[in-house]
Amino acid sequence: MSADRVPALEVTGLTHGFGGRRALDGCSFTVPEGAVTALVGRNGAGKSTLMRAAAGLMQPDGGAVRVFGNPAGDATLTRIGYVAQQPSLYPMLTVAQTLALGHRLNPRWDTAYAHRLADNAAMPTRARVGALAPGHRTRLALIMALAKRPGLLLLDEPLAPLDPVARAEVTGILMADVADHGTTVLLSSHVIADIEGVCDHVVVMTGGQVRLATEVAPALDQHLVVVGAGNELDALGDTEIVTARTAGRDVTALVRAAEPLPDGVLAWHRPTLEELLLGYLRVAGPESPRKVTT
Amino acid sequence: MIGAFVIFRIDRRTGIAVYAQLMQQVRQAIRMGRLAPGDRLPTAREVSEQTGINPNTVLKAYRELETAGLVEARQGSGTFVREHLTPLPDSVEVLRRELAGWAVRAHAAGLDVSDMQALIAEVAAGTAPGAQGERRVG
Amino acid sequence: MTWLALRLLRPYLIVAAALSAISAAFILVASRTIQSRADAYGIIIADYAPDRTGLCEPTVTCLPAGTATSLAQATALVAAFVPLLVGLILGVPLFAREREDQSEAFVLTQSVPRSRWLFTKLFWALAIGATATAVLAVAFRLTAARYTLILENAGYSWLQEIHHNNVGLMVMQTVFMTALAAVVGLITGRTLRALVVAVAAWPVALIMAQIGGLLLGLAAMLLTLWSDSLSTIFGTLDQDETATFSALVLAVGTAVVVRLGKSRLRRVS
Repeated sequence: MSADRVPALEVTGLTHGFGGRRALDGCSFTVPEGAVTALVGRNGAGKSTLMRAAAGLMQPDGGAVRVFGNPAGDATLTRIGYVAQQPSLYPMLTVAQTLALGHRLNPRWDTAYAHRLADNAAMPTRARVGALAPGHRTRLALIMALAKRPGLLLLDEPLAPLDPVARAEVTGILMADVADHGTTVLLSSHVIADIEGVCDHVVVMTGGQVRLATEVAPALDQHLVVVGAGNELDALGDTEIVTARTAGRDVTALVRAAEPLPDGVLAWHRPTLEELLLGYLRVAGPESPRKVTT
Repeated sequence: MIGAFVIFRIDRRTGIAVYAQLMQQVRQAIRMGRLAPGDRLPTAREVSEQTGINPNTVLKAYRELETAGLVEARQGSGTFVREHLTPLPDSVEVLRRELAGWAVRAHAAGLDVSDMQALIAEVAAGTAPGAQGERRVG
Repeated sequence: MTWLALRLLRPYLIVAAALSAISAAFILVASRTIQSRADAYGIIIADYAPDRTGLCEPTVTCLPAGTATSLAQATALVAAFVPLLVGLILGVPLFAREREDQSEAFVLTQSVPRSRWLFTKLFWALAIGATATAVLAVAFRLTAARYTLILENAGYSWLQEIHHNNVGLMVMQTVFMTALAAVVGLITGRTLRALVVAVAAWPVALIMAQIGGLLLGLAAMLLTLWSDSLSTIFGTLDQDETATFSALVLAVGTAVVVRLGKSRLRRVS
């Protein structure tokens, strides 16, 4: 993952509105080639809009999305595999017809791989897509994206409609694909347990803005969870406090600090991925005014 | 060369980093004799497919196991348990016995296993200089 | 892409083809029946057509009352409205339906440029629409037009203002309406909106086409006035030629609508 390589995905100042609401507000981050990146955010944080922009499905109001150096659009179609939150498939076609369509519409289509994945998922090939269970539909959408042999997989909440067994299988398939082909993956989720161990990079979004975009391991080393009474937090001095939550007299704070705290009044530990992400998800964003209006 | 038969169990809810869980399980398997010297560890791809964890994480765990002298990577054929493993220092047995005594007292004090784990993790995270060292390797 | 375009069009293709076939069959059967009724009454249609110059009075149909008149009226309705219907059937759902159930994200994320999606789908819809209407238009012009021409002036005969018994104008109406409904559906992503806009735009488009056709005809006349040789080639402009000019205007309109769709393509979804 050297810095001079062209990033798989480069988002710069991405801004987009629906009606009066800002869905994306100046988002910038890069996904290095080969990385598995989790896009984490609460519902309505702008994850899906960002995914659609990266897939070239949507023309943003402002900013740019580049996929392997090219602006997202017709030119990048062969290099992306996209699975929408509600999988986009034609309900009147059969599974076999859908797979055949993948072959017709994609120059790099891997027929053998598609059939292997379909067999593993016990996909009823003669059934109509519209008659499939939601889990099967999601897996079919995923097969369509994988067999396209893309460089960048964009998966919008791919695990949400799956049962626990299918979840484990699908994550396994994804990770095996990463191991075999070095595929770059951007997957959105709001279930932190689903991304633990899967992702080596994270992007946290709240209220249409990017709060954190980093590699996971160094980020864990550069933060501390500090627990103490409210006034004791002053002892932190200049240390940047990401979020602080009060429970009774105690305050739990996520702070940005690479060095351990000296022994003293404040108890501290290195955050788990969940603590780190929750800390950034709680950063007050422009989503509070939205609460007022509803 | 009996191939990969270690089955990793990854618990994503413990808060313990996944690569650390992998390392611990390889250590455990070697200690319990389930992995003998010369055995091949499953490839990153096999582990990834089986457990759904990032292959880079598996490789990181293997690299750290290699640094720790437990396994060795052989060009093109995989990662193998070292033939001449330095046995665990005797002090580990002593520590283990001390901890067993401590566990009995903790149990008597009303702590369950997860309470004890939390306590140990907290104390260890606050004191262990080794934790810093390990991170630097990655 | 062609396979997908035709597969998605299939239900509408079947309806449009069936509509066209049934209409054409009806026109043929009706013409025969009308002719036999006229023969029974000893009416010679050729004496009246095409401009009611014969014996029949204004505001009264020249055809025998009863079955013959009813059939001629029905035929006039078919010729006036089926081209529009075919256009709506093929055009309204072409993109709107795909966008409504959000399945367009599938095809738009395969390795095929958007413009190919747009043009392949449009091409087949327009081609099928043109063929469907051409079949019934030819049947109508060759067998039934002579009867609808002499329906009473005030009521049914004005329906021919829609198409002037001209095959080109009927076909281009379908083509234009298909393209218009399709592009509105593409931009709005709603079948209902595409339908409403297309139906509302139909009379406007017809009037524009007539005016445009007349202006083109006038221009052609002026051209022919300058030169005797041109004049002999074109002859005097009759209604049929003006209608052909109107069809040309609709063809230009279709091209404009398709260009509009192309220019808005990047903003879709």
